Amino acid sequence: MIQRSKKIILLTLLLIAFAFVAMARPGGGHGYSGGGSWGGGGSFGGGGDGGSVLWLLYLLPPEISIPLIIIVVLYGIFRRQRPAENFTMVSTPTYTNFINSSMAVAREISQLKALDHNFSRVLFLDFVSSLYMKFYEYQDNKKMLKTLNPFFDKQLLDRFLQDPVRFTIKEIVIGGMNIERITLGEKVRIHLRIKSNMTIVANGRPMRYIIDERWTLERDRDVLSPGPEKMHTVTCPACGAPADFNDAGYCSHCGTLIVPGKKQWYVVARKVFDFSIHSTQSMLTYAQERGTSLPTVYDPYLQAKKDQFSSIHGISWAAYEQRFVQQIVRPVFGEVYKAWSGLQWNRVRHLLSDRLWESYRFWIEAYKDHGYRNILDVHIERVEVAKVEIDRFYESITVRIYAQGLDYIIDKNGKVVAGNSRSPRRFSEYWTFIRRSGVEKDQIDMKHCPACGAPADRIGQSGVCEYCGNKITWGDFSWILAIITQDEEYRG
Amino acid sequence: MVVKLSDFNEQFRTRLYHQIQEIERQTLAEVVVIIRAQSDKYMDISLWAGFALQVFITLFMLFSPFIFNPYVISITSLLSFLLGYLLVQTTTPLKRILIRDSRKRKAVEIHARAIFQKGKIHYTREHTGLLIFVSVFERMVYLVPDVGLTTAIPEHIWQEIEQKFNNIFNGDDFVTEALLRELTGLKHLLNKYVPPVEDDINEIPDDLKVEL
Repeated sequence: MIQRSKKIILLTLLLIAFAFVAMARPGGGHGYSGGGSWGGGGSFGGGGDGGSVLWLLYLLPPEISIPLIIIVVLYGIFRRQRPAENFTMVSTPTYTNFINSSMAVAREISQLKALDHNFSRVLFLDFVSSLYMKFYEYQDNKKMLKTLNPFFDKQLLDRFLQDPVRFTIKEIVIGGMNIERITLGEKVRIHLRIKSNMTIVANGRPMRYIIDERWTLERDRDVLSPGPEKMHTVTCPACGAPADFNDAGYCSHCGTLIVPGKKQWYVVARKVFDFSIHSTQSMLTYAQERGTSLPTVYDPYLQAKKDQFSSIHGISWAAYEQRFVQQIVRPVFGEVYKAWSGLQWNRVRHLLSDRLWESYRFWIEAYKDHGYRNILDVHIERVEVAKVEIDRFYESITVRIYAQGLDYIIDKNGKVVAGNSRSPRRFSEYWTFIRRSGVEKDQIDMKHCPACGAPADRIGQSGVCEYCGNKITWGDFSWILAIITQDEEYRG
Repeated sequence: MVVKLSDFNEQFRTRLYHQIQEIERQTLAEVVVIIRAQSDKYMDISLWAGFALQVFITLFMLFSPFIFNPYVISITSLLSFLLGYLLVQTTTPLKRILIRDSRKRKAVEIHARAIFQKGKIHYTREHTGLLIFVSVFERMVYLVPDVGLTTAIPEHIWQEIEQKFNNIFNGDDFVTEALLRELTGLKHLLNKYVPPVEDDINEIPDDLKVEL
């Protein structure tokens, strides 16, 4: 096509040249009575490119300048048509479709809870998250990978066991986990979309990858979910000891045979949608806010859950909501952003769940490595409760926070390298707080351990307070922040 | 029926996605619909039109009994080329008439097959992916079924389906409505030949990106 176009343009130019040659044709050689003036003397104030173009047109004779103007105008018309030429629509879901899907998932979770009173979404995601980490961490250690056999379909795990060790995987960060669908047949199946990034070291060369995959977990219909102690990490569903099973599936601690799906969830399918190199340079990319103006995604059972929450705690929801926002949401918001801007992520270790803290720590480290700091001088404009979830073990409240403020990145010398340090940005995010059922404490002490009251300065990566030895990042003592979701990504 | 790109709006996309969900719920097929303004720019057609007008005008000025200033001839020659080019380039029905059907069909087919590969629509367990590619300028629809569907559904049925989809541009109804109606028909047909299996789940990601 390009070849064809070139030929035509060449022919066109030849023809124009031919017309010039025709000046010599008999009767055609009239003198050119040019030199006409446009009454000159006018001044084009303002200068700039537009001024230069106009000045050039002013200097040219009308026989040339008028056609030039026509060409420019026609070109402008042509350019305006361009965007339409590139129009593409893919049958992907719209925001309305997402809302409908999230409603459907909420209904399915509710149906699952009717079968299994112990089911807790918080704990289920914790379990899968732990299994996911182990699955990837053990890729270079087939012996350890084999110990996970009660939690994987045999064929699926065998494929990984048979692969020779070619790389090691570390620094796994789970960015997002969403329940896509639950099917309740003879078996119960949960389809989860997991987005993560991890460092794969092959031949001594580390490379960061993004993985977007779906895991499908299955379990017998009549099984009751184990309690928190067997769901926070991968343990033997019979005795609760750390996962260590022989080839046949017997627990090395209690000797119980763990058949996949009989007592605990196991992975029956895994489908990878994306596996690509991840660049931390994206930290300097500022995308335009896409979801701030979107309507809030409210849980379809929100009012019923608020009533249930009020009845459990013997309080009025309206008063509680106000207290929750003032005493939990606002202080945590301020502290988290302060820690982020100061690259002091350990300051908020006691306020965040393990997964959330880990995933953001990755970015904090990336900023430190590059000598950058993301300054976020933001304040909350308003807060809306979007979802209240109550199960046997956990309570969770999701709020949509509307905020605005300055958001920019500076380098070591304080120079702004991304964002805008002058004009504030408006945005909104969904923050999910969780706490163990039965805990009544409604305040978060930003500086102290919620369990023992000691200074919160000795809380390691594991979330255990070194003073009292309690794991405080499971929400066993007070509200903790478990999930932050961007507004355009939130599905309810 | 005049087809406007603005008809393919957010509201239509919501309905389209819902319809596809219905198909995937009731059949084993994994359907992706992609609507593009055009499959080729066909720039050469516009350039030829410009050239033809330029030849006509120039010859007229050179050999007519009227005397034209040579500069005027040159400028008019250039302008007539631009006029012819832009006239065809910006007048969709005129441009469409000037392009042979076989060329349009070929462009649409190449584009559809490229999207099928690039969009990884063949990455389904049972090879039941189906791309329905709608190219608005050419007023053509091209179906690319994966091998799982071509073996399950007889060839003449595919031809019938494709014919029906191509007719969406010829009826009195809005193209968007006609497309959704044909998708409903497709759902029943696929349900007959490739019924769903238990716990069938969407294998092609919802956030499919197609950049050619």
